[in-house]
Amino acid sequence: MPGEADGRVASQLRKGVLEYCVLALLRDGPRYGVELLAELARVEVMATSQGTIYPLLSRLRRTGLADTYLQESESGPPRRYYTLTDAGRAALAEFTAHWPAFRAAVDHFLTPGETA
Amino acid sequence: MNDTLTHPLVRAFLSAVEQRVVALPEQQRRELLADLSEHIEVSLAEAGTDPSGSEEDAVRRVLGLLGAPADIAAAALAEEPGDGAPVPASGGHTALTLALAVAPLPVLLVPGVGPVLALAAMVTALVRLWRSAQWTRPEKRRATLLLLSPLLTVPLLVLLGAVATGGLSAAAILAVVALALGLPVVATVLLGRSAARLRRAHAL
Repeated sequence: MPGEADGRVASQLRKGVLEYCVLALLRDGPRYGVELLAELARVEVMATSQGTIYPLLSRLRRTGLADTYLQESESGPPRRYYTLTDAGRAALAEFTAHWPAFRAAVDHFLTPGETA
Repeated sequence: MNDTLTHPLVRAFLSAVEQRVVALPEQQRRELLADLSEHIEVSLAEAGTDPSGSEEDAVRRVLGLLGAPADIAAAALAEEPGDGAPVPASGGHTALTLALAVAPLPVLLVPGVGPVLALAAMVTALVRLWRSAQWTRPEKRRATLLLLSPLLTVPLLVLLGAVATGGLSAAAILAVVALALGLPVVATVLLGRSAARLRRAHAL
């Protein structure tokens, strides 16, 4: 279920990293909106009201990190596929490079006895 | 295909979102509604193979997963730090802007430096008003018109007074200023209320 009960902390944490998770989901190839959201929803902490992802996708497209194209489907309407641009790939690489140190820094403060 | 979008529940959902994102730039608003419509169409087409349950149930499920229109609108407005979603400012900062906004008329009565001080206060107030991110563009426009209204109302009232009484006493000039102060006071009350509402909404 979309994480509403987990409340404020989870939603604050998600805010900073969600767009990089989306970029990461596009790393290995284009995905269409419904598919992308289903992938996100499989991981509980990233699950959120699906509709709130579309403004994020729209910004990724507007800022040139992602691109979209329409492709016909065998069932139903054509699907809008999202694909990473070079700028999107670079942003993802930058985040990937920073993340381990960031995660270690948070762990450092959270682990009892680590800060004297 | 398109008839899924004419389903009453879908129409109500989309219009509920639309009503809450009027502050978004036109293009983003259209894009959001198009994205949501596509999502609903695709989700229903993919759920279509499920023989159990009615169309109504399928629509409810898809809309349920999309989330509350208010949450979607809030996420869309949050992507627009500039024009779209106002950002609250501190009470002190706001109070100073509002004080400067009502100051010009009373200050005008100070002998000698009055007009200079009044002009300085008015310009500073307008600059602070337009630089602030806590009011929307329409709010700023309305406030500017009301704050500048004395430029029109003071000469008009003076003229009326002069015609009616054949000359103006000091008391009559005070009365004119008090009357002309009405619209700028309305402007500051509206601005102050909207700023306070915004601060409360963000404190929740």
